[in-house]
Amino acid sequence: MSKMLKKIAEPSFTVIGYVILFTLFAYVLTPLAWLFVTAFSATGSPYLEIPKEVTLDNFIRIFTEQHTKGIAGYAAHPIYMSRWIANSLFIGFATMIITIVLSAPAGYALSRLDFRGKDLLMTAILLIGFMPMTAKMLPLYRLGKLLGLIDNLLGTAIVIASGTIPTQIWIIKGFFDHIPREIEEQAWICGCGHLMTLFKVVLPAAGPGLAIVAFLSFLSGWGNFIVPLIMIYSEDLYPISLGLASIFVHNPGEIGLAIDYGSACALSVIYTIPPICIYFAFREHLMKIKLGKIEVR
Amino acid sequence: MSPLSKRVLAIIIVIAIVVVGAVTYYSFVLTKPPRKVELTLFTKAGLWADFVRGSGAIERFKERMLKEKNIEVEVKLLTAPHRGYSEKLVATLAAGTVPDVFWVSLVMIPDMVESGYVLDLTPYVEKWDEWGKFYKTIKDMIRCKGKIYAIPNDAAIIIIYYRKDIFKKAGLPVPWQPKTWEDVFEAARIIKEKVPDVKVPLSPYYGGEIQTPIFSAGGKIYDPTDGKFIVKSKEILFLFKVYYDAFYTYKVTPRELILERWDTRKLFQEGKLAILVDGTWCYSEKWGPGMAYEIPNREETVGYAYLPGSGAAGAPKYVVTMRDYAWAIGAKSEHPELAFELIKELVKPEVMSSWGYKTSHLVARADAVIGDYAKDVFLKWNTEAMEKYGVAKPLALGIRKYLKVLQDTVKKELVTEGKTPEECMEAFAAAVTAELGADRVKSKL
Amino acid sequence: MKEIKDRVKVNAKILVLTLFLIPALIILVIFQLIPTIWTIWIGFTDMALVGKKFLHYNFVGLENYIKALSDSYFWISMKVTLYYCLASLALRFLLGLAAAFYITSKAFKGKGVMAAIFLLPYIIPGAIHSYVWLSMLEPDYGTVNRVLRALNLPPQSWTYERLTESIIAVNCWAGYALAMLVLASALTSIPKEYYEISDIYGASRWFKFRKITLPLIKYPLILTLILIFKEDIDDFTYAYMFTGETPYPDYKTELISLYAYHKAFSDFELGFGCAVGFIIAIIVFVLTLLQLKMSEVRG
Repeated sequence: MSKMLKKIAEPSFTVIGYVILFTLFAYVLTPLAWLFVTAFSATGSPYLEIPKEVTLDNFIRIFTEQHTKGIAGYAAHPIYMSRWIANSLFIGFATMIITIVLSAPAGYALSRLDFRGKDLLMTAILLIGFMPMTAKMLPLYRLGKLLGLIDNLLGTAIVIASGTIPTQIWIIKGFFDHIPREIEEQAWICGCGHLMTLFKVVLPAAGPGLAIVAFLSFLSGWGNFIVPLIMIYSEDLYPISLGLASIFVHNPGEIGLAIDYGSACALSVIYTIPPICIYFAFREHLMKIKLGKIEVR
Repeated sequence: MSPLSKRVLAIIIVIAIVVVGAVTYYSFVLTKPPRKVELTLFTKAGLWADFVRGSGAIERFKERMLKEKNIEVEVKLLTAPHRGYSEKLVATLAAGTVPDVFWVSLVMIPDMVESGYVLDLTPYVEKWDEWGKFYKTIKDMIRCKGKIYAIPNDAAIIIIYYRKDIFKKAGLPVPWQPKTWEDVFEAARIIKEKVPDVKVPLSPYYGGEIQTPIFSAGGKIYDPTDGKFIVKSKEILFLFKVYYDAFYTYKVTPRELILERWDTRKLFQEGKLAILVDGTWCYSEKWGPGMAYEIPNREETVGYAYLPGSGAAGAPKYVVTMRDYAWAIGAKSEHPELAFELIKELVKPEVMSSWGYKTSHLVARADAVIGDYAKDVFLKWNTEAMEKYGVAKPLALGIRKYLKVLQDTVKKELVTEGKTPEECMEAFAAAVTAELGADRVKSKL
Repeated sequence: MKEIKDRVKVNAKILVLTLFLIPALIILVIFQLIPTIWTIWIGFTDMALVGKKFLHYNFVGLENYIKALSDSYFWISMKVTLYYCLASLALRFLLGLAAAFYITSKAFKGKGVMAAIFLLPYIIPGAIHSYVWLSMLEPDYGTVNRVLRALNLPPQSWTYERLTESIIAVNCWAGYALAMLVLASALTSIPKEYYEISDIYGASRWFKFRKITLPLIKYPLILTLILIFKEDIDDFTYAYMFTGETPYPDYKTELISLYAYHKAFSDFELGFGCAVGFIIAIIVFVLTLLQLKMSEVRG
């Protein structure tokens, strides 16, 4: 009896499996499909429909600083759209560099040092960010003003970096932990100075870890909305997230304030490209977070 | 060298010295280098900031300052996206950074005055000859504690829209101007009978200016002499009665309109709503060409009228409620006179008229009714309406809470629970007292 | 002599390592610790952002907390938050589990592509999510309702009646990938032999799942649940984008974090907002401690 059930259950299990798979795909992909389709259509609309004409016009407009199409000039003058992209790139890379420069040595130190209260320090580092960002907004702004970080891309990157550093320290430490001390000691015995060991032996071995930290911190800077909202004032310093917010001027539930959906979607598509590229570049490494390895092939 | 050439040489040298001396004197002593000053202007990113940039106001301002006062001004444009502008403005002010000029919605002024964020502009305004050109109704609207704290930039009013085609089908006169609220209900009832596929004959206003019927009856919501809000009065009862009539007595408004938040502008476009109390911005933003709920043949289909008075003694003939946006000066600004000059440039008639035309808001001064703005029938009608019949909510501390409680009471006690106007007023009075404190409310009954 | 040299070398090394640690710690202290303490302090005052209380605020001790606990809207938003977090938790977890199965099981092909597709919403920056979904959920012409109508199902009023469900949908769409990653790595670390042995004994799929898979991924599972819950309590981006600066009359999306934000920035009651923020922070704090314990137990 159970054998017969199994015979029936097996293929239908696979069928159900495929059905669920396709539903999942639909759920995941439909919004993205709208984004993509509207970016290439001449008449953008908030509805997913096959465009009557396909054009690259939206993208060109972003880079050539012309007026967007808008009725009675409602839509924003995209004088800064290409600037926004540049700003986001800057913030992303700056965050990445600052994070790596600060957390890699810290992770290494925490991995090799041993002292009373080390566990306490590790826990404290992880817990330090427990206050929700919105409550910290005002003090953070005042602090930023004191230190001259306001309206300044570098200042924004520093603040964003300070938010991801705790997690990155933990991740990097995990990787350094996996590098046995013997390798370092061997290098010392062979006559390399400490500095050389670091650069020639340890860093390459921790390559995947550094790659992951780079990826995550870049994403953190690239996609951040709240910190730039607090800290940046000049429109030509807006990252893409703030730029999109200033284009989409409408209230929920209402549509059609002559927003230039075409350009906005084109900008959004551009917004998604770097993360996707970096993901593909680091695909194998990404999975090797301290939670274990994963084969995805 | 011969004695003659020596003398010639000497003369040439003397002339050269004189010339050089004169030139130096003129360039350094007579014309002082201009003083350098930086002003910050804070407004919303996108549409607003772009308009300021495009209008040339800043350039004209800098030119004028250089010529008239020999000051070189640098104007830094600070922005925040539309979503989050008020938070950012408030956070900036609270942290001590004071923009010299900033864009503000009038409801925030009482609180800002209280915390000392904005500069009292009354002395500046009194010396300004163009202030007389601003509409009186606007000036009344913008006074807080008797003083002026911001210069109005544009306004919008609430009026009655009606669909001319439905009116014609129901045999009602077009153009239509109701004289009392009974006229409005009468028209709605006739439509309900004669044109049954109109789902919503009447939609009374349910938004930020919900206090309109109180003004219709000639009432006030705030007494500036003792700083108290009025929570019980004949006029407030009238407001509740108007809503009650719409929903229950005449049943010309389905309750789901508010409970389920139907999109009234869309229903109007589809012809399922006949009479709509809403703001001037709908005409262009919602029903204009190319907009979301475009109505073709807008001029023939959409009619508009003043809101009626209540017909009681002491009530105004007609009423339109106003709301407004303005430029204010930060209280701790280091260059208030210059900031005021910048504002003067920003509210020049040409600039204001161009903004009004672009966004379908109304201008705040009589000499701004020029150009494209003046040619637009709708805008002109509304500007005159505002001039003649405009009333606005008082700028007093606590006004936002007052209006929010009013809105909640209409939704909960009246629409959801169906209580009588008297009961609603009781509930409203109790709620406002709880929010603002017993020492800030009073009853006029 | 050599001993002294070694000692010096060791001490120098410790010094250098400590120096490595210092910059990161300084940044953390400045940008995390100080604002946190400042915020906690504000939570004990009745400071207001605008208005009289901005200039003359008082230290009021626990009054804000008492006010919070006795405010009916606080409890309404707690209820909404609980609904939101539990629903998100269940959906994100289940979706993540399903996705993890797909990308690790033998039965389905193209796992690399599948993994990439499933990760897309997670990788895409969060600022876009709201706009995209607002268009999808538009009641009349949005894609979701169009599909519902095509299937003869009743279209829903996503942007008013079913707001909470809408933001849950967006949150799950963006966030299930976290569960997927953790669970996928956990699933692949189960040795294949267990399955093969059970196959010899003729175990059914269900049996295998219950007796082998579940127990072995228990710890990562709990870890995932904690991580997801922590994220959901804190983040109100979607709720904010869907409702705006003042709470909708019915408080349908008034998550507790959004409630704190509104109180601080719309009602200008900064002290109160910070106090509520601190309450949320304590919950996150406790959850992080739990998360740490779970990682320790497993690793």
